Amino acid sequence: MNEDDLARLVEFKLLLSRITEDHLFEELRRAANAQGRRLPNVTRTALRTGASAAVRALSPAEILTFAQGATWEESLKAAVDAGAWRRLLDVAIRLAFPSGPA
Amino acid sequence: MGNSNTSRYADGKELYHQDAAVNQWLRSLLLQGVAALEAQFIRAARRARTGPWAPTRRAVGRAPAPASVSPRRAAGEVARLLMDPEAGARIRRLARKHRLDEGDVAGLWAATVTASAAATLPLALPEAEPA
Repeated sequence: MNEDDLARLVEFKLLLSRITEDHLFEELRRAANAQGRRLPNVTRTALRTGASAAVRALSPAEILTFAQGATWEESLKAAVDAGAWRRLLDVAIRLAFPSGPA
Repeated sequence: MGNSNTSRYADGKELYHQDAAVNQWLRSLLLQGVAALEAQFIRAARRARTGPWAPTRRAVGRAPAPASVSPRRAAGEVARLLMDPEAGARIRRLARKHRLDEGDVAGLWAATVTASAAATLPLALPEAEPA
């Protein structure tokens, strides 16, 4: 793999991680507001860590699921349809807010 | 308020630093909203365009699968990458562009090149639970 290919692949993962983090944070803020509660200060950091770790753990085949369309939109739609997005969110959530010591 | 959690990633970074009850509350809020998030994801995709970030199939196909490496080796890979003139410069550019820590980007770079992804994961994933 040459350096340009590698840089694009890393940037793609960074973008996926950022989208995951942003969406989870917005959803959390909305849900907390609905309950009249404030989010803890470390929430954003925890989500960033969880999203990043979840993306890092994706196998090449799973990464391809997010990059198989001719356009970004097509690719992400396909990832939703394949359940890949749901699995990524699930792992990111559980890593960001674990239920107990690992 | 609940038990304190002090779990760490395999590379020694603290995974989270919150009360277990707070973690449970946040986790349950998100797991309830996952379906709505999928719809948001598609809406965001409509606004986006294919960009230079889109990886080639060849690049993805050649990337190693995630594997476990020792925290020491992972830290060594990150340090080596940051010292490398070309890779280090690219990593710093990406970190600036995405407003991320250079070490985190280098970790992702290392994970992509050398299959050290698991070095950034907890030793064991939290157990699955019903959404």
